[in-house]
Amino acid sequence: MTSDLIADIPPRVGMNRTDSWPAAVATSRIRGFASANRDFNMYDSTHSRASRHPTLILSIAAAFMACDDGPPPGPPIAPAPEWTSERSIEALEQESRLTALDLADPGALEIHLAFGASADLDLYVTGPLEETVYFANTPSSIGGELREDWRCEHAGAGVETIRFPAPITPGRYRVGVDYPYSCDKAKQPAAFALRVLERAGGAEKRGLAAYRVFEPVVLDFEIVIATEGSIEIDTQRDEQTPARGREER
Amino acid sequence: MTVTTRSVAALGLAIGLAATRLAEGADLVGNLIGPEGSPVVGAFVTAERGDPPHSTTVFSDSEGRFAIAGLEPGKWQLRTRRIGWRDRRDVVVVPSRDLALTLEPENDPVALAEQLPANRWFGLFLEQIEDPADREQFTRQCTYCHQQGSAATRVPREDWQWEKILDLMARMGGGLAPEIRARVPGWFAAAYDPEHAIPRLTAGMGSAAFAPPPPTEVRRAVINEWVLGGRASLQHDVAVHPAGYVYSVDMMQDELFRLDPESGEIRSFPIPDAGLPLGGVFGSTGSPLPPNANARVGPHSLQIAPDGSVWVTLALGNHLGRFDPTSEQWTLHRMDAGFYPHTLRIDDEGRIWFTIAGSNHVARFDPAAAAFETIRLPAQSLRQELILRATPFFLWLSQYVDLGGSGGEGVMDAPVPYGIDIAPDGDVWFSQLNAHKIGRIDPETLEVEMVETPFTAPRRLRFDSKGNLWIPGFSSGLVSRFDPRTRRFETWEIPIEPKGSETPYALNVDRSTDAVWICGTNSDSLIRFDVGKETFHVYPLPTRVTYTREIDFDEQGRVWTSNSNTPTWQIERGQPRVIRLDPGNSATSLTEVR
Repeated sequence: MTSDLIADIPPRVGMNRTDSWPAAVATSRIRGFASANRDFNMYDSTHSRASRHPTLILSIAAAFMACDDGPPPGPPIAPAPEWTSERSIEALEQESRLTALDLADPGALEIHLAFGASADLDLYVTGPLEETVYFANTPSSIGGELREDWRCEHAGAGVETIRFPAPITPGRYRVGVDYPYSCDKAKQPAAFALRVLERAGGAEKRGLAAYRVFEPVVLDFEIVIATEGSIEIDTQRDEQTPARGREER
Repeated sequence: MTVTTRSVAALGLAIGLAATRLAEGADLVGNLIGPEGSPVVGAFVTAERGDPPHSTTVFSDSEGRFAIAGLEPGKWQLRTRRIGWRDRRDVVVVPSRDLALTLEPENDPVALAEQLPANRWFGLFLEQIEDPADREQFTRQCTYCHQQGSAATRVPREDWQWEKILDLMARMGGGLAPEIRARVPGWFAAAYDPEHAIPRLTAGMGSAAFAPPPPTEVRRAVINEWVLGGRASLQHDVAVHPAGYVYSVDMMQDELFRLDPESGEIRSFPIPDAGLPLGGVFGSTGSPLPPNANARVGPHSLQIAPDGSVWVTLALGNHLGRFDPTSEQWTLHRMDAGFYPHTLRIDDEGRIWFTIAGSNHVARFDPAAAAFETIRLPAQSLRQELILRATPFFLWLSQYVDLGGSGGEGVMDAPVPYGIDIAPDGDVWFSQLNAHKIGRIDPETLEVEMVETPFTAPRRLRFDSKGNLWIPGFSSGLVSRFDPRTRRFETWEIPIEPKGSETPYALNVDRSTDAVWICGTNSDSLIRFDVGKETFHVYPLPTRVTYTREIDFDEQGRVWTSNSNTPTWQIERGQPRVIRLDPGNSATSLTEVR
């Protein structure tokens, strides 16, 4: 393997029309091996300071552990977090907090997410127009609104609520849960409970969120407006949604 | 009368007759005026109907006249739009040849500013950033998937919201250095404060110079848009098939779409999920899937092979897919190395070459042998090289150990192999977006050669018929021609104002004319560059928030692209579209009416 780098590289910014560049500007050539596991490296000696960086040490260790001379395999698919008796109890506690909530206003739809003080979970609800209500997109074009984003700065366990005002737009609703921040150093899986409330009915679910994993489909339901104007929540689609073990059925 | 003047007169008569014939062939002919009777020049006139909707847009000419052909008889929705004027919507009955429409000027500065494309607003944001390197990093990282400066990105937010958004974006692949992140909320607040922004954006409103009409050549264009897929679809790339179909990949719904432009028929072909969960191989890595996505394999880029089959990179599934249009069957090939197969091109021998963005590789797939050959590309440093090699290990380890880096510092300088194309001599050239380099691979020896670009963020590049490589500078707002023989770059700044607010994601060269077509990704436009005259023509597109990532051509020289802004709900009316722009040289152009 050879490597030559022409170091005289003009600055990139401020380019103007018809700027012209000399031949062989900053060309480096790397010759490889005629084997299936081709492996071309270009190391810039100016980065030798990196050898003192902790990331480098970890990288070298990882390289020895995880990589041979060939290209890396694809990323692994992580198993879902496991339920334990403690987590089940925690999920039930969160669920009981939601059952104490008042019913939604007539004709409105509310989706609640309850979780403990050790995690900052985020609630996402995608409505029939495929627009998602969450902390960065509230309210949506059909009026879905996140009431409050409960974060680690808040004291105690949290409840996040996304509310769609009357009249509810019929169609498919999809609930996702993200676990972007842990409020302690443990970063343990976080038990949560979900409750969909509409005056005539609802749906509940308990689940486990893994740290920094977004689950786009935790609950999937359809709002159906019957001919006489009554509203039904159909969770049939949810029954068919393949869960990754996040749910305690 | 001399022979010459007689000839000129005859020519004029011929043109007049041809114009009359074309106007007579139009299904909808009308006139646009302002309240005082003066013509409204260069307005979009859009006729739309159908489910899913299909529309045809023309421009009003120098006398305010317009003519649209190819419309079936019956009722159509008609929208007229011009910056500086209020949108007008009518239901018209086709055929109709004497529509007289009056537009009202938009005198409300706030409403007028809302009419402007995202790049005009983004220019105000860029003014806030003093350091050009910070400006470049923000532009490159924060416009990966959506426009900046659009209404959805101008929403006032509190600092904690920005912190969470920037963190989420970093997890999705667009990271910023911590010192830039810290200043972003302040920049947004200052740039988009209405007290500041509205007077700046509407200075000179009402004057002829405020929003001049497109030039005559541009006004000859006819633009067709087809809504394709659902509201959660992401029509990432398009490719024109020799049979006349246009294929599009829906990255978020795992479907291949086929549009027959002649009949309007749209079909979709679900892509097998390869047994993968939502999010594919990245489903549990902490890289969030858009919340309305149903992607397990994530089709990203597509090309048509010499045998007519459609090849697709399945970015989230780490597969390469082949669709047989005859049997309508899929064959998937699992990659055993690397992750995030990205853009593909096919060489004369039918081999598929593609960049692998996540692990810094280019791969070659030989369909005859069903074998991949993977080529590791140079990293920028030893540290980066090791990190890239160890990324699968880190991804596994991150399930159990917090590795930090929530700011996305790791992703913002990863090389990211991006565009790729095959030179006329068979060499394979590619770009490394974040490394600001292009590279060459010898197709026989697989030797790799790297060349630094004298501009930032080379993205989707293409060869012209003469073997020159054309490269868009995504964060540098320019187009460059690189001659592989002399190793010389020439660059031209894209003339979108304010300078630097355009983010050309991709380009393609019509090899029959060597005209270069460039995505005006942040300005709702397509841009033509004629290298012989060194002139640009900017073709505005009628749908706000039209974010384009790929260009292809049909046999008539018409230009195809797709609106793939994500989230899709940020697009005007919330629906992705496949777009065809006829520059006006083909028989379907009707602006000869003038």
